[in-house]
Amino acid sequence: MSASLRLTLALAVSCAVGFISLSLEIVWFSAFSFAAESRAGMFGFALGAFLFGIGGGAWLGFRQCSRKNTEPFLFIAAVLMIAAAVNFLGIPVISKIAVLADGILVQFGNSRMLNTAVFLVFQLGSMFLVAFFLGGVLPVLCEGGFGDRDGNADGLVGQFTSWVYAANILGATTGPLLTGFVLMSRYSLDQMLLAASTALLVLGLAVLLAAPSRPRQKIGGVVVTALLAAGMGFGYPVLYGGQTLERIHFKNAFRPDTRFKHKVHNRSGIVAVQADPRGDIIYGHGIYDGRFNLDPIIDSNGITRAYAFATMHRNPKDILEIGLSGGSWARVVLDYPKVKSMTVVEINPGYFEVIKNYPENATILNDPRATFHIDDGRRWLNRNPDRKFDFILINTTFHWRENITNLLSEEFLRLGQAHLNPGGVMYWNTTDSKDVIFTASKVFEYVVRFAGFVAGSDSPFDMTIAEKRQALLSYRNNGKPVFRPEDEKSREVLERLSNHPFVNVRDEFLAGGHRLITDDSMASEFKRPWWY
Amino acid sequence: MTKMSKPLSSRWLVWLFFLSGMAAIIYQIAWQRVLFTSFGVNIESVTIIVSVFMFGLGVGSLLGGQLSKKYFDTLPHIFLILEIVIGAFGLISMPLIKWVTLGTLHMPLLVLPLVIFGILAVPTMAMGATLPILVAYLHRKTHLVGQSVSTLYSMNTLGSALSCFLTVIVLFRFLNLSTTILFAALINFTVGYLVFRYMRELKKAGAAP
Repeated sequence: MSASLRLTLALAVSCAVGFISLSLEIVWFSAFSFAAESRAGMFGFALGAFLFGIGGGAWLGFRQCSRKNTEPFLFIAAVLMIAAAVNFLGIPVISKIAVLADGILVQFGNSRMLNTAVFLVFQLGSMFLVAFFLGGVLPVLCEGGFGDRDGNADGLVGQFTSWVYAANILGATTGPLLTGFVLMSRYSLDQMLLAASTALLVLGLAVLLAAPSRPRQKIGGVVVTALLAAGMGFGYPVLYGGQTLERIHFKNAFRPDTRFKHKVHNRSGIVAVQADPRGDIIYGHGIYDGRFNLDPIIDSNGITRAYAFATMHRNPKDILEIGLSGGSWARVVLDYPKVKSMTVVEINPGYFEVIKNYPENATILNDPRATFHIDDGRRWLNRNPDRKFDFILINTTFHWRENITNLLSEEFLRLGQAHLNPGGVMYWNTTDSKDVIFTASKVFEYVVRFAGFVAGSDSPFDMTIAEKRQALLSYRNNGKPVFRPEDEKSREVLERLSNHPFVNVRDEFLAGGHRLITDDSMASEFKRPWWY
Repeated sequence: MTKMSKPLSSRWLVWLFFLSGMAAIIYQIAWQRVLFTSFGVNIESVTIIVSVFMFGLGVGSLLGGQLSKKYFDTLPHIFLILEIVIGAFGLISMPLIKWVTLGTLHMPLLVLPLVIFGILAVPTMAMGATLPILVAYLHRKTHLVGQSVSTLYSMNTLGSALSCFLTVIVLFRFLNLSTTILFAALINFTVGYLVFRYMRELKKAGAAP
């Protein structure tokens, strides 16, 4: 093989491996964070496993480079094919292990928690293995492409390395851009994994055919490639079956007939819906994100917390909701006749697609009082400093999830406070974190609690029981009253909400013992043990 | 010279590159979080940070290749300067990003990502330039390209990998975001200082760096 051909091949393979590696990093991370319920720190774990693989692979390449009698490009073809097989088998095998391990783990207590841990460890292991084989390519390319095994070209070494490295980086830059922005919105996780394995296999075959090798080696390589391709082709419907998301979500509880009712995978994450008689359950990137239910008696989604907003402000005309989810909360707010306008900021357009399957909630999309913005809540507030609201409502996700600091920090609360009209209220989910209430107490004069939620305002919460009751009775859904005093169960809910005492807990929480959540401290995400 | 430079160049410098990789990934994770507060928690932020790191590392690598040819006799000096540049940028990075965010708040949405991209390109290019420079230096000592690349690349990557776990399990738990970035800058300055000592010892021994 001529020197220029070696160099061209080295640059092309380097670029392609960079492209596929970083694309796979995004795909695997998406699957991993979905399986890990987006817990804080999971990005670091996934990146760490991937980099350990790349680093370990480079060490493998180092060993290969010291063997002077082997052809570097043959080694590269082999590791690419192994990476293709590992990538293809990874998630289905992990899923099987999770189910098999269940029988053993159940003897050690919390099976679900242990099973999740085992599942994640194996998933990190798979990421490590894929990266390990891909990581072996770059250093061997430098050796094989350069071809100066006698060390006679000192001055060119740095430059040659930089070319191969830069080609790798070029692929690694375009890979996440194309995969993250385009491919992941169009193709499912199953299809992405299959496509990556196929690409690795094709690349491995191309390198094998271009490498200076004996005919026997080439024939052997083609046979191996054909066998792997056939295995993937026949194995895909059996091992995947379009149920990868279900496998990594339900883990040990996965059964062959387990299927999400709806699922949307886009660049902002994965929205999935599970059928349930008490209101279909919606999951936002692997974690509970509400149910499709408006009935305060069923209350399977704690929807009474949404109805309670009317008991905190006498005249809430302009409302801001950050985070739409299934739209049940927005429907409740719009069912309150005093509401004149509602602004909803949601970062993931996938929720709108899902809501369209639920006619009762989908009415919000055509309600003339509602406007929707697909944006990050914090950025939207920053870019709209003149917009003021009587009520800001956020059904915040769990306080231990990655990047939730952006919606719980002191800085964010002050930003929200600056968007409130006089007497305005900010109301959000603490998910039972006392640090969240403590942080609220640092910002607002009046801080009250309601069923896991906290409300902050610079005016007292002083609606009388009669006023609250009247407010609740005015709710109309589809023209019909939501609360019916003549019905015993409905009356029970009505009285509970009307009689809830809003006690200012600010001084109690300021007394100490809690952590302040700031953008800098990230307290709710990281200031507890990482396994919490 | 043989007695001193061989263990220093093939082991000592390699470990310094391990530390350098640790600092780089701390910056990546920490800057990503800072950008989330500027751009929002979305794929655009992730893309900006991944792209700027890739762009910086790639262009820096090309520049490093040129530098390794031009300053072939003073490669450790170049490495030292690059580490200081990265550390110094780390020190001012958080206030700088916040200042730029405030300054571009009401400009078109595309302006802030472009400005941030331009700013972060400086330290990431410096990071990218370090690999070819050290490869050239080690190759001068060992005459094995693949081994030089593999050793440095694997150590740098393993440092980065270890740093991922260190950042989310230890640093973010016991430090804040700003002090985590300060910690990374201290690593760069430590590496710079150790390279400086290495060069001084070579000079004392009468050997070329």
